[in-house]
Formats: sequence, C-alpha cells, structure tokens
Amino acid sequence: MSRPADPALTAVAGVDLPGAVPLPAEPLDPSRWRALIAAVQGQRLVGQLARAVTAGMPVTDEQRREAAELHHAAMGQAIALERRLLALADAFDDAGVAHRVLKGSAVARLDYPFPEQRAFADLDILVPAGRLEAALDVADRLGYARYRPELRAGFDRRFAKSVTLAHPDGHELDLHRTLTLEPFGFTIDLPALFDGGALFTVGGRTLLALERELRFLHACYHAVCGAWPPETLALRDVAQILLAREGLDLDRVRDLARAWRAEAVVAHAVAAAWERLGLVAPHPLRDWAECYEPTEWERRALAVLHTPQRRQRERARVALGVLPPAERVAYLRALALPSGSFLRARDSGRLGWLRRARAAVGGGP
Amino acid sequence: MSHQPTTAEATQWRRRSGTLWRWTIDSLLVQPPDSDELLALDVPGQALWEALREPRTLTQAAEIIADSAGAPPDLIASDLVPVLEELERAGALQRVE
Repeated sequence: MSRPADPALTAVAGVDLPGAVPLPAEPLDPSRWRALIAAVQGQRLVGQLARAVTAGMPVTDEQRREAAELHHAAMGQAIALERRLLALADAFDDAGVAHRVLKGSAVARLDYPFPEQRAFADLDILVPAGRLEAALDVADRLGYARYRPELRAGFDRRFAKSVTLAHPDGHELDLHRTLTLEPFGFTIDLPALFDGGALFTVGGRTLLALERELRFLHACYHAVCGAWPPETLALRDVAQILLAREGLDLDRVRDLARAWRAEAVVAHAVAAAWERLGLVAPHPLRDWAECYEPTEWERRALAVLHTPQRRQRERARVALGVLPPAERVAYLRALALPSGSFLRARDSGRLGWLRRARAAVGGGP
Repeated sequence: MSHQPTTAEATQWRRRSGTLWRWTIDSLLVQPPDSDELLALDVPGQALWEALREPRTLTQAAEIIADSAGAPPDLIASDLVPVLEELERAGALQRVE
C-alpha cells in the first residue's frame, strides 16, 4: 500500500486529525493543484478540501473559486440525498421496517464536527435480514428499481451483503442485510446491529444510525473489504471515528471484532489509515494493530477480497467454513442454480454458471 | 391568505421544519421542504439563517447581527426584510403563530 505521492493530498485527507501532515505553507503551483483536484474528486475528499481551505490552506483566488464550486456541488448532492433519505425513513416507519442509516449522512453528522466536511454520493440503509423483502417493496413504491434480479428466491435475505437499487433521478440506494461481503459478512451478529442506536437529526427529523463502536467497525469493513486498495475517504472515516472525539469503547470494539472474526479487518484498517493519512499520533488501537497476527481463516478471507477480481467462487470457498451446514446447502444451491431471470439479466448460460459454481465447490478452474 | 407585514414588530420567525441546509466554502445552501430548489444565500441571508437558530423577531435578529457586524440595527433590519420575504416565499422560514 502506498501513500499519495504528494504530501498536499495527504495533508488535505487528514486535515484536523491529531498528528496529521501539515497543510502546504503556500499555494500549490498549477500542476500540483490540478493533481490535487483530480485526486480529491476521485477519492471524494471534497469535504476535506473545503475544510482545509477554510482552515487557512493558502490558495489563489482561482483555486479557492474552484474548490468552492466543487464543494457547492457536493453539498447540493448531500442535501438531495438527505431529502430522499427522509422519504425512505418515513416510508420504512409506516411499513414497520426497522432500519439504521449507514455511512453517508450518519457519519457526516455524527462523526465529523460539521456535516459539510463529509461528502457522500449514495444512500446506505441497513434493515433486518427478515425484513429485506418488505424494505424492497417500500423502495419499489418510492420508485427505486434493482439493477439485477435476485440470484435465487430468498438469497438476498439469507446471504447477500446488500441489494443495490437505482432511483429515476440517478442516485443509488444500497439496502443492506449485513455490513460487508462474504466471507466477513457471514460472521457478523446481525441482530446485534439493531441493539440500541445513535440518534441524529436531519431537517428536524430524528433518524437512527449504528452505535459508535458499530460505526467504527463498519468503517473498517468498508475500508478493508470494499474497494482495494482502500479508498482514502474510507480510511479517513476510520481515523475520524477513532481519533476525533473521546469515548470510543476500545474494549467493546475488540470484543465485537473477536466475536465476528474480524480482528484482522480492524487491524488492517487502522494500520492502513495511519499509513495513508501520514498520521504520527500514538493510539492504543494502532499499537495493537501493528502487533496483531491474523488467524489462518482471516488470512484466507482477506486474500480473496484483495485480489483484483474478488470472484464469488473464491469468496464462497472461504465463506463455506463459517456457514452452518444447512445454510451451506442453500448457499451452494443458489450459486449452482440461479434463477432464470438472473441468468437472463446476466446474459449468461446456465451451463457456464454451473461450471463456475462447481469450481467454487470442487476447486476446478 | 393575508399576512402581517414582514416588519411587524411582534412577528417571530423560525426555520421551517424539514428544511435542509449545508454550508459551503462561500455560501449557504438551503432547500425548503417539498421543494427541489436549492437557495444559495449570500452574506445577509447567511447571517439571518444563523440568527434564526431559534425563533426571533426581525428586530431581535437584526440586533444579533448588528453586534457582530458593527452596523446599526436599523440598517441591518432594512437589509434583512427582502431576504426574510424571499425565504418565506420559498418556504424555508415561517412565522411563529
């Protein structure tokens, strides 16, 4: 894993964090500024750039204008998404579907000093696995449509990480059953995600997010099991939740991570955050992360997620080891015999899918 | 529907519930409920929005802003009237009945 080449990007990404790289002392020359803007847009660090500018990072008038335009667009998008979020929350409440807001608006409002410092581009909502179909019905009534059919009837509520839906206005909604892909997504205690919750307010309406320790774990999952290499904003969230305010219960974090077989995820996320953001601040969880030795299962699970293809068959091989026997059969049946509508949507033949599923079980190519 | 004039001394104003807003580097974006319109408030609008964290009359809001702006409250109040009217018309502010 490599740090951004330009220390200006590292400084912007870590702005306000204790022990962060100092902001540049003078305006960047045009080529460095262009590179910074490209990276900020690519990594969705517009909120951090805005904070850096308002905190006194020297910029030319033209650079300030450009940063302001980017921030204006990002905050307009945040408002539009929060409007949709409010409609979804009302509709879920009306339908009796418990839910927790993930990432985006929840992290911006609960974990950053000001929501303007955290841009986001879609909506993520967690619902109980047993209520996923009801939640999909609610979303359908609000105009959302799924990108692809379910792999097999009942697969989503039993095994999927989430279902991604598109709204006619172009934004996406991820309705989550769990916090991350298998294999790690299979070892999370799903009912525990709905124990308690953190309240936050959008437009005068109270919403529920995960509790802080769970938000931290989710940030770690997102950083380590999402895009690879990790997105800088995801690592910033990890550092933000860990460092920016007192009160994160580290014992609870580690207990949950141990119970969910995700200690390697936390260790990896914390170490990567320190490296990518150039942090030097000491922290007990960072010390622990440096010394943590992943279990064999964790090594295999991380390895399949950190390959470029992250193929389902590879993930399935590792995931089978943590599924109860009855669930294994259903999981493999779904992989081996997907529905016709799924296959048609994938423009794929059943035999091709069967070969891939056989390979998942038997280890063939 | 007939309203009291904006400048009526006793009229209190508040942010309308359901209004969303975000600060940007040089502006304040406000979206009233039931609207897709984004209002970009300039400096007087930003100051008014901040002053109306809680319900206040025009005079009270002008006095708060005058404190930090170092300008006479009467002058501030006259500058705020069109902003107040625009935000009410857009549905971002409402009178406290």
